[in-house]
Amino acid sequence: MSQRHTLQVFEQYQKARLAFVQSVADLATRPQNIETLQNAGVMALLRPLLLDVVPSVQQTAALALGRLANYSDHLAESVVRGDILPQLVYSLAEQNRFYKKAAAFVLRAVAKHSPQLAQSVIDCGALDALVVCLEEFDPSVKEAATWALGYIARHNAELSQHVVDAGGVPLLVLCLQEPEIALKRVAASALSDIAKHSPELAQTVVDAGAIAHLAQMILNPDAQLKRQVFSALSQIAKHSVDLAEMVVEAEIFPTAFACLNDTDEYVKKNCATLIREIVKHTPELAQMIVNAGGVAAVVNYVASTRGNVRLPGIMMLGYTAAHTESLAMAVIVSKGINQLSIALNEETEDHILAATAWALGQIGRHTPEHAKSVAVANVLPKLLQLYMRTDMSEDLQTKAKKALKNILQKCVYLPVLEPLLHEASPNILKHVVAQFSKVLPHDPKARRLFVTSGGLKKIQEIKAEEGSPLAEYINTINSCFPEEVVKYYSPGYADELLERVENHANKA
Amino acid sequence: MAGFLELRRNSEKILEELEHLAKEAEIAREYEHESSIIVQSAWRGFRVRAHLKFLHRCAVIIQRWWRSYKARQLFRKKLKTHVLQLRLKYYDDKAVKIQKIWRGYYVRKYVLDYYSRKRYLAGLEAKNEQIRIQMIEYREYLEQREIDQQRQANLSKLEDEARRTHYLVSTKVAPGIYNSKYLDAPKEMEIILRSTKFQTTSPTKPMKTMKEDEIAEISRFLPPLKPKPQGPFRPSEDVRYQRYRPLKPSLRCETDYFASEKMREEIKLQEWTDRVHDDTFTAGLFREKPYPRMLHGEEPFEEPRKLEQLSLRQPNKQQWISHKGFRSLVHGIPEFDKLEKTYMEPHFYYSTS
Repeated sequence: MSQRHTLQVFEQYQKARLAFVQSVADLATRPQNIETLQNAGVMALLRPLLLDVVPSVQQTAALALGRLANYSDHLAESVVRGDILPQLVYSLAEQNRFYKKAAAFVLRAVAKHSPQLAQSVIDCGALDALVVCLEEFDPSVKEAATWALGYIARHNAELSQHVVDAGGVPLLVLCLQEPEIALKRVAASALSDIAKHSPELAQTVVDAGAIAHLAQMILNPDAQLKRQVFSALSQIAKHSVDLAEMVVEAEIFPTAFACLNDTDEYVKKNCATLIREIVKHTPELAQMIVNAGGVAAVVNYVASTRGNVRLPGIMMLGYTAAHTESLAMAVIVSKGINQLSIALNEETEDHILAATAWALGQIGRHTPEHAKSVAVANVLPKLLQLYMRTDMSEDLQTKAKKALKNILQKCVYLPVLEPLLHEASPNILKHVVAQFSKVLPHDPKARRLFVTSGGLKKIQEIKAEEGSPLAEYINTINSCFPEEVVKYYSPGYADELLERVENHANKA
Repeated sequence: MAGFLELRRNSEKILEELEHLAKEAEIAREYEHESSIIVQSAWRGFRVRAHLKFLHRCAVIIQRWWRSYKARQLFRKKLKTHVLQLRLKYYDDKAVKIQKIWRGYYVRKYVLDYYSRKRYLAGLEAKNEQIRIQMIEYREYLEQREIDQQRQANLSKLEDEARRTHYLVSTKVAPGIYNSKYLDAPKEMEIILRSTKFQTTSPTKPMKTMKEDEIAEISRFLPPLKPKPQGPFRPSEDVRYQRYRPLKPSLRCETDYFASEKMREEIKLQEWTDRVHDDTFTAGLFREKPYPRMLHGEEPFEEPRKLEQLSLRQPNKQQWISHKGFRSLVHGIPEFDKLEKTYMEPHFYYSTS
């Protein structure tokens, strides 16, 4: 009887421990409770429960710790200071799969806050244990381990190098091939985090054969997975021409263009980022993308999105047009200028406006034909406005000015330049007048139009310093017209005539 | 004698005059000596200068010849390199001309081909249209999928609802709430209620008995028993135990017929794994000799004579006597050898046959 009584005492204690740990884990799901838990000293209480005899208490304690560490970096630091990590790493190797999941969750929650915490996670020898977890059968254990590795590798190149040195990359690529969607997602995001830091790391990822598997998953119905896949591919392609060529050789185009019209915003954005990174490198790659119909896809994408999501598409159009004038012509033919001018009018944020201005400048700078197409879309006044506004960032002003200058230096279509004559500031005016001085000596009809539209009058009103290029241009223009006409339009001519009338009257 | 006396009388004067003459002679001598030195030095200087001039001229001639020789050599070298450069320049110019013509032709034909560019842009527009259509189709496909998924979710929710509220189905006597007699046809919910299949609930918790483990192992393959049958039946626990009673064979039945052979094999394999290497150990000194049959059959029979000669004390003189003849280093005269008295090695020119 007394034996049963003593056993009952132990059973009660076990029940109490289990109940405590479960309720702490439940409370830790809500952020408002975590402060109170921390003040009540939950860390010190949870730590011995990690070493409990009963496995379910251990697992729930680990889960609770993970949720607490997930919430803030103070708690994560206290986990590290409390020397809990070595115990977790040791039991990662030994225990059953539920404990492994919980332990991997804690490691991930600690490592996600800062590089120093991630470094302390590595110092406990967690990497080898996590890589061993990647070879388990249970997909949820693999998912937790992959997630932890991804968070460690996210911070900087050194930590990613540690993950690679621990032999994680081939196992991550194996995880990509598993049937579970969640595992694929996390593996793709981990590979993307590893590859983003440097070309060598991206090359390591490519050498493990990741590109082929990532390319297979492009048309998967799951939106989250597509986001990660495109992000991974764009991180790989951004570093060098060879890597971009390898991504292209995986034959993702033209199927990837369909994803530019996906229902999920971020899938579209990441797909556009991928195309931008590829187009950036050489004219041959840009030509390949254009030939596959990429420009139309991106123009559609720019038309259908707003705000920050548009930015990669705009930059892609700019990069394409920057390479050669035939590519710029391709962008024009695919109705890129209309979309860009709409974007210029609609957007409000500085960096997007700067990117749009830059892209338009790249399109218009090649030949007079290009400049005319850009100017006809009524872009120049808007660019001028952006340049004049002082409340915008300097970057935007410089980009607008450069774009304006580039377009103006090639623009010989006079009807578009007329409005600029009246509004522009002196340094822009110089270019406008220069263009006029190039065209007017040769074209009589243009001269007539110039006079009738009031351009000649405006020219006379400009005050230019002697010997400056502006004065030279003005002289060139004035020399195209007969003297009387020039005099007629010069300011103060009416007064001069009246004076002559007076003098004449005096004489008589 | 008179002369002598005169001499003695004038001796002082004579001596004076002598002295005077001697001084004059000395001065003259000095003077002549000096002048002869001057003349000699002038002459010598002249001679030496002439000689030096001659030497200089010779040296200049030698230097001139030598320098002209070296200069001609250098010139030939320079000429060679210059000619090489000229040749290279010539070929380069020709190559440049070819490249120039080719590049002009290529650019005019392909790069600046206005019509091909127009065609390319037209083709590009067609491709763009295609891509735009594809994108729209993809979007439609995705939206359709979403709608389908939504519909599926709704349907399953409805079915769930129906399963839970199955009691609302109408019977023959009392029509349910979804089936009013004033309506032409029952409502949709009514039809769903009628067509739901009752979902069997999860199996009840297993009874806790002592024979639980044995039963649990086998009852995976067989369907579960109903818990409480009505009537004069034995308690279902016993029936269950009897039904799922495990086989308890005797030890003789259980053991394999070939158990002992298998065991032997196993032990052999175990020992094989424990062994470091399979070769049996032999010491180096022990060599496998074939079995010696009988001692006197071992060695071949030898004549006693030969055995005596094999003793070390007596020198074996026969060993120095050979029955071969001397080899001659000099070729013999073929005419003498035609008699073939001695054997000779055949020579290319002088062969016996």
